[in-house]
Amino acid sequence: MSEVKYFRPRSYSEFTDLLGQLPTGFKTVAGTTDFIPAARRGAPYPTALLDISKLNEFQEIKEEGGRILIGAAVTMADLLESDLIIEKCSVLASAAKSLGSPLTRNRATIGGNIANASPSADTAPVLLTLDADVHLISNDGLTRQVPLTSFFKGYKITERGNDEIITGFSFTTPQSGIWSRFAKVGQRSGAAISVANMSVIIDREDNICHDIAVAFGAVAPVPLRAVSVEKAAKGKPFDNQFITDCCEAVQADISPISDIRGSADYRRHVAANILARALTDAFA
Amino acid sequence: MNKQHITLNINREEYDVVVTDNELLSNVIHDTLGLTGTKYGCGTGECGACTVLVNGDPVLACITLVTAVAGAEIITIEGVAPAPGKLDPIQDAFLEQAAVQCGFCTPGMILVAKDLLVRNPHPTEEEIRETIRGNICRCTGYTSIIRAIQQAADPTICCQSKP
Repeated sequence: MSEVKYFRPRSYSEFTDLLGQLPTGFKTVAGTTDFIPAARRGAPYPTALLDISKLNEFQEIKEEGGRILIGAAVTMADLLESDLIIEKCSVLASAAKSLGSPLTRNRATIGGNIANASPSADTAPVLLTLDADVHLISNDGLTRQVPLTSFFKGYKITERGNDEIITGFSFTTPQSGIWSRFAKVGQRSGAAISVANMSVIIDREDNICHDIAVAFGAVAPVPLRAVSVEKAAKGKPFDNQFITDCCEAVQADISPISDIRGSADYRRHVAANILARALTDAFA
Repeated sequence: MNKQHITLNINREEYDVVVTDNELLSNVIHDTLGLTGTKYGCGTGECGACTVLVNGDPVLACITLVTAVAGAEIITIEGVAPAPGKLDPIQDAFLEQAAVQCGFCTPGMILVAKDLLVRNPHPTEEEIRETIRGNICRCTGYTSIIRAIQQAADPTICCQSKP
């Protein structure tokens, strides 16, 4: 490993003082649960590391003005233990609980999960269905918010510029009474990387699907919203045809590949199956 | 190589060490400080052999930068026992239940069990299984490990299982 400079700001003012001085080619890290294994596999080592895991501002989970704000350095363990998340957004807690092992979850952060942009990132489909915004700050101090739906550009390519740091995420607090589920298929039940994952949020009354948000991971180069499924389901009554239509529609949304974890064919089957099961349970 | 001087608090003792900026916690604990109970297994955070407690939470030392935990309270397997020559009840239970074979996973298993029993003194079997999900054992088949953690939580189990 070549020479690397390490920056660990302990306060927000130390962090903002650093901005503008970070060398070109710096990389932001927090839990390092993705970064170190990748470096060990031979990924190019950055010139400098910016460790944001000690910044209180980035470790907060709070609700303000009808929106939930989650700092980039919030860990999976924080999410699945947060009363606010459990009560108002349990689908995110279940995604956090499915990620890695308890050991990984103690260090792995939501910012890293999204920044790394793995197609199988478990928090990505959930944040997509919540219509979350990604909050960014650049090395020259400029901030901007990008909808997560336009954040993932291609396999492990995101809207984030090289000099930009994810500071957190925000989304409108889900209304009470909605039905939601995170589903994940892995090769085993513990500490598995998703072969397919899915988040569903449904606003339904009696037998009618008023509104629906569906997103999938690990079945395309990027985690994505299943827009065809949403179009097929919105405003429709729940029946067998509803399920058939949605499961057909999902095939147009996804473009899975075969890899060591599963074949493209299997992913198409399993994506339709977890969707059908979720819809059936939502209207049960 | 960029070197710096940091202070680590390990097993309630302060260690002044010189580290490179990208050095791993597992290297410093095992190689620099010679606390060889912390094992280096997969190196990618899959096996749990390098588990240490950082501010009470089990963490994988092989994928943690040492600079990131400067100032934190770190406990390794060497620091679990209450006093020299004594064992923690979890260590006793691992011996009683023969939950140690090759021993490579044992430090990690005991440390995640320690964290569990601090948070939840009477875990169910399911909670124990969930806790050790990130720790791989290739010898025991896990049954004796689970029984040992159950015994540590409730010593009466020990007497029941003895012939």
